[in-house]
Amino acid sequence: MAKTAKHIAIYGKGGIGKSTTTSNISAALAEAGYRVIQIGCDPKSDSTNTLRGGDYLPTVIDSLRDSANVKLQDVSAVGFKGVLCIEAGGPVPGVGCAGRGINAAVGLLQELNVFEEYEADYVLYDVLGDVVCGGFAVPIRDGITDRAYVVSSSDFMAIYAANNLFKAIGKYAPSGGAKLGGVIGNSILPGYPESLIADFASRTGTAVAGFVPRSPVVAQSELYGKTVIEASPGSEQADVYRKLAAHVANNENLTIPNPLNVTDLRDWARSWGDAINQEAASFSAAAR
Amino acid sequence: MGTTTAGNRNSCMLHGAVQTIKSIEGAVPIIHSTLGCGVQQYAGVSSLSGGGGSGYTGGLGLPSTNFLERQVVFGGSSRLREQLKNTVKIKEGDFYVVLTGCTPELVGDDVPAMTKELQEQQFKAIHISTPGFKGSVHNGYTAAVTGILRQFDKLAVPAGGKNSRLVNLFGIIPEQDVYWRGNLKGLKDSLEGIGADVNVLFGPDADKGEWTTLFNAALNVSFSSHSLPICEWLERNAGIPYVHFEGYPVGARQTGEWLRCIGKQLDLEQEKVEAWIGLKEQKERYYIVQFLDAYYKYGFQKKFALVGDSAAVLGTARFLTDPLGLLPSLIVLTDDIPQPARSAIVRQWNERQPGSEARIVFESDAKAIEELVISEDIELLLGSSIERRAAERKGIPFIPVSFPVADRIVLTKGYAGFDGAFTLLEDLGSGILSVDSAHLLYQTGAGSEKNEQGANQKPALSGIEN
Repeated sequence: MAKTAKHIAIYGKGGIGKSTTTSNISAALAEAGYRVIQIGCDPKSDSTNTLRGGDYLPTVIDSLRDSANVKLQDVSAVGFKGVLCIEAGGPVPGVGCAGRGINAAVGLLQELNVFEEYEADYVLYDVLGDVVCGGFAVPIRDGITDRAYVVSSSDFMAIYAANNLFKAIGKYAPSGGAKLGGVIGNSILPGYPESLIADFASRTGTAVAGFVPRSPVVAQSELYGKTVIEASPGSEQADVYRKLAAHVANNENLTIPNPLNVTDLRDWARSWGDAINQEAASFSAAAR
Repeated sequence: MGTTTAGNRNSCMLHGAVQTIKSIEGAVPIIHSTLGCGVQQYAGVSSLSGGGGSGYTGGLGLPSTNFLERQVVFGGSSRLREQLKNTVKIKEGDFYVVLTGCTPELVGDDVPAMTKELQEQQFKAIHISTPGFKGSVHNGYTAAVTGILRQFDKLAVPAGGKNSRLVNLFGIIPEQDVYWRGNLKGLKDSLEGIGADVNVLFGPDADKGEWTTLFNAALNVSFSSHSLPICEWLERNAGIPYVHFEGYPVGARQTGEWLRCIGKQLDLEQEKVEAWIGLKEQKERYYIVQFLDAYYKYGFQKKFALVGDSAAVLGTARFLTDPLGLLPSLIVLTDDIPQPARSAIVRQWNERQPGSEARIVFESDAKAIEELVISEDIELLLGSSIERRAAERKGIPFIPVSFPVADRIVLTKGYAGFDGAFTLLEDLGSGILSVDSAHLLYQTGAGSEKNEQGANQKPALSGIEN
């Protein structure tokens, strides 16, 4: 009997670290012996760079342009510990429809029977989190993934993007789309950020999947073109990713989130602004 | 919640623009859209408009970029560039008009950059944004004409000087008005009689160069709420005043009123205007007198319902009511008319036909219209081919007057103006006689006593019964 893969979408605002997080989860799962596919669903097509040494990989969309008869080997590369890397790709910025590109690429991968052929245990979709149109919501619609995670820092704009994604999940989940596995807090500094993200998660009816502290090890690994799992397997940061990967792989506590409306979100943010002020004041009082 | 529309007769904006542009002599429309948009216009509008054909620039000969997924994802500008390059090689025309359909409008193709490239190669070319999702065939007509006006400098140098007798006619939408050519001809003939010069702009009766003199006109005439934006634009940007009428005039009375209004606006010699109207009134009297025997013999004074575009049927409804004396019961206007215009139509109807008990209904759903017509106590139905079935079910005569007309070939026929009324009389008479076959019995000895539909078997004059 064919293996049934778990399809997991990972969303997040641009630049928030979702490709880094996704790649490290993929690497950790591969290291644990699973067969993993990572699909970059971002027109920038740089999701899987650190898994495969940064060599040029033709994107699915580029191949579609050149030929109607696309083969899996033309658009994939085997990266760290056998992770199959695929980039959906997209048009040059400012032209065409990137959303349709994602839609077409995911459709083609399904047609090519990639997931069964590769006998994947996990398929991770690394998706641009500003769900600007229906195309970017394709990975969370019925029949693609059944769970989504959102990567967020404690910055308001990242939380705002996460809240928007919750709206998209709220729209599709009742008709069979993906449910939310939780929030992955990224680039976490000491102090309030963990509690802010945890508070946002609890307000919106979801949970925190894990916190990834801000660490120079991440920056260093990226500069070497590798994941933390590959570049610094013995580091504390690698263990953080391993723990996160295990949670993402096994977590079955999936929910339909309750996104905040614009006013509530604004009020919630303001209350945290006040809390941070007080925290800063008490720090400076203690220092005196 | 959205509602469904059965038997939509108002098509889409792209189609309206296509049929408008292809009806301008020398204009070549180019569709920038997905496969099928052009053929749908051909099969769904042109062919059903009295058997309208492709001609040189439309229908099966319509250039199209046939947008595919590749163009959706990466943008379709280069596909359009290729299409333009090839179109100018094989389609000779005075100017080229790129009409964009839904998909490239969603993708956001830079179409103006492509038409600019064509302009740089010394071809006259413009683009008009006409995504189907923005409206009906009527909106497509409005968009196409205003699109040309806005980009007029890319097409022609306006011929200098004002012409104080020149009138532009707007609101008769090619093919959506099945009798558009005949109607434009009828209006032109009527206007020329008072000494006005006329730009009909579309079809074979538009003289060469009409579009270049358009800005010289002293007056614009609008026959539909869909042509109002065009006239307003010309008033704002070219200082040309306009007069608006709900529907084109049919017969001497309406056409006379219309001409008096225009004569006054153009400051034409009043005696000449009256002399022309008088002459035409006399002619109409002559034909009505000739028609009168049949009118009484076959009981033409029937209660009727009329279905169609406001511009195309209101004049007909007025003519049938007065002077012809038929009894209007239900008028269904099927085009998408803005609310203020709806109120104006109803108010004007009641003012001009004070004794009329006619109901005016705004509805485009074929099923709803059929139900309205079936339940109405009427003896005659005028409408589109969609309504023919209802007339057959009721066993009453049917006259095709509005789009779609699928079972006739229409070339020169029209109801507008002075002489159009005679065509209407002929069609009305033929329609009534074709159902009321009882006359065949005593005139030729043929036919059965019972009409299959069982309607109107007895001639109106009972004295001549066998």
